[in-house]
Parts: sequence; C-alpha cells; structure tokens
Amino acid sequence: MSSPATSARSGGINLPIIVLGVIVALLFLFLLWQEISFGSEESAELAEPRSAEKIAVNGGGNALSAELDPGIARVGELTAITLRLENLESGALVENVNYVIQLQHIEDGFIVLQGTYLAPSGEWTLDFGFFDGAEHQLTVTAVPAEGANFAQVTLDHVIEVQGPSPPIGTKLKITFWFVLAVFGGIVVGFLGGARSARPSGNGG
Amino acid sequence: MKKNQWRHLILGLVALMLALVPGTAFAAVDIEFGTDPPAEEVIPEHGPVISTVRVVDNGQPVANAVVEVSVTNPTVSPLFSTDMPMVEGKPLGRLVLAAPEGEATFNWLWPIRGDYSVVITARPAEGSTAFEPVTKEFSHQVSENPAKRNNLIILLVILIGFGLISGFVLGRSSVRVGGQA
Repeated sequence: MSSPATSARSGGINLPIIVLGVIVALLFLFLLWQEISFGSEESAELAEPRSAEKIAVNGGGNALSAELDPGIARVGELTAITLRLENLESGALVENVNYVIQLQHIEDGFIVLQGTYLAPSGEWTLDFGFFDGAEHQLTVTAVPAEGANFAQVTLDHVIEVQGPSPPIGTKLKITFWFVLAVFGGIVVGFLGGARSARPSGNGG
Repeated sequence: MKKNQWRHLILGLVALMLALVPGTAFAAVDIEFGTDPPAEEVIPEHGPVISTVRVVDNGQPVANAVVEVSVTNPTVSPLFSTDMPMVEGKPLGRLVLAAPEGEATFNWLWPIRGDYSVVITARPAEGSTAFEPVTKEFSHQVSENPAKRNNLIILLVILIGFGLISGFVLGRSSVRVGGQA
C-alpha cells in the first residue's frame, strides 16, 4: 500500500510530464507547419518555366558568347553552360581557344569553379549542378591557345540560381533530432532535479 | 579428318596469326585520377580543389586524348542529412576536357561530405585512333567540414543544456509540490 505522500508525489510528477509532452509536441508541429507553409509558397515560384539564355560580348572582331540552359539555374539540376568564340565576319568558330573561367558565389564570396579549359574547336560545354540557391558571378575570358592568334575577350554575367526547399522527409528528420535533443535534456534534468529535491532520509 | 575439322583448324590458325601481327592490338590504356590537396584533406564548401585526370599507357601519358568526366554527389545516411539535402545523390557536373599531353585538370568545389562517384571516359581526340575508349569509375571520399561539425556540436550542447536546466527546475518544483501536498 502506498502512503498519501507517495501518491501526492506521483501526482505532482505526472502533471509536468504531461505539460512537457504537450510543449514538445506543439513545438514539433509548429516547426513542421512553418516548413510546410514556406515550401508551398516556394513551389509556386519554382513552377515557372525557364528558357535558355544567351549572353554575348564582342571584341577584336570576335564574339564571345555564353549560353545557359536553363537561363535560371536550379539547385539539384544540371545547367549547361556553353561557351563559343565566333568570328563576327564569317560566323565561324575560332579554333584553339583557352577559356579562363571563374564562377563565384556572390553573397559568400567563395569560388565554386575556376580554371583554364582548352577548346580546340572553339566551343566548350560544362554541365554544372549548382548547390546553393544564390546568385553566382560567371566570368569568362577567351585567350588564344598554342597556334592561335586573336585579341582576348571577357564576358561577365550574373547567374540566378533557385533553391527549392528540401523534401518534407528531410525537414522531419532535422526537426526530430533537434526536438529529441531538447527532450532528452529535459528528461535527464527532470529526473536529476526530482532526485536532488527528494528528502535523503525517512525522517526528512 | 572431316571437312568441318579442317575448317576449324584453318580458322584457328588465321586467328592466331592475326593476334601475333604487331599493330593490330590496341594499347592498354589506363586512367588515373587525383586531387590537390588529396581527398582526405579536402574540406567541403572551402574553395576549389584541383582535380587531375591522366590517361596513361604503362605509366606514360597518352597524347591527343579527350576525357569526359561525370561526377555525382554522395548519397548520405538516411538518418542524418547534410546541410544541402537537395543535392545529395544528384549530379555535380559533367565536362569534356581536351588532354593533348594526356593530362587534363578541372578545378571546382566539392560541396558536401561523403563518397562522390567520379566516372571518367578517355577516348582519342578526333581523327586519332591511338587507343580504344576506356571508362573507369573512381570513388572520392570527402570528410565533413570541421567548422560545421563544431557548430553542430555547439548547437546540440545548447539544446541539451537548455533541456537539462529546464527539466531540473521542473523536477525540483514538482517534488516540492508533491511534498507539500
């Protein structure tokens, strides 16, 4: 048979546990609702069609062009970046071109891609998967490779990158781990607090 | 001997002679792939890394080659995502590089931790038949960015600490309330 004190204590412990459970559940649901509502607004924006875009700059009798397909990049999808150097008079591709390329994340400043890439035919394509939904600065300079002779041309363009929201499963996982960390702390703290507050002897 | 047996014998001899004639067999071309800094020192989202592809025949570079590189991002554990879940398992890039001296480099940033799949095909440049196209798959293992790992640890310590303190206060007060009752 349990004493009145023990019954009262167990009654006192149950109420905070219920309150805590409700708080944690509400926190979880609130975070989830936020994520879902933000995601639905974003998906409407992402449904807009995106066509290819071509940017060109002339210099030294040649035209340096960069074609982006699609014109607005999206995280998780490949964007084809095709570079061409064409003679303005004949329209023919200029052979043996070295493309000096730099792709920079504008907001954070880090360089995503760079280097010198040889295009014996004058055309060079890169399929690139952007990983952050932010604007990127593309800078391309066409310089003559061995055996070629033309004036170098530079092209600058800002590439817009759309960043879709992660899938609901991923959001659930992240929210679950963070809520679990808080909940785990609460449980351990609660048990420790209850233990320390309990009278040490029978006469206490 | 029967007619069929003679035919088989003659065909076998012709095949043996063709195999022994020099120049009919293609060179045994191999592909080498490496990064600078090496894979174990690469930090995700921390500046471009020089990646080098070499087309070699018995250790010697093969001239007039073209390499096609295709890189796929890692698929991370189903329990723990990276901070860029939208790119996990998706292609990172595909590019064709001229390698007149048998070597080509590309220089980009590896965005997330994990095991990248790098598929490289080497073929002779247009007009050359020096070797048969060869394809090789490489695995490129990148560790988590130490700064991000530390940030996660700090965040978890804060969350657990917050839980511990609030739980402790609640635990003490609940026993007092129970004791008074």
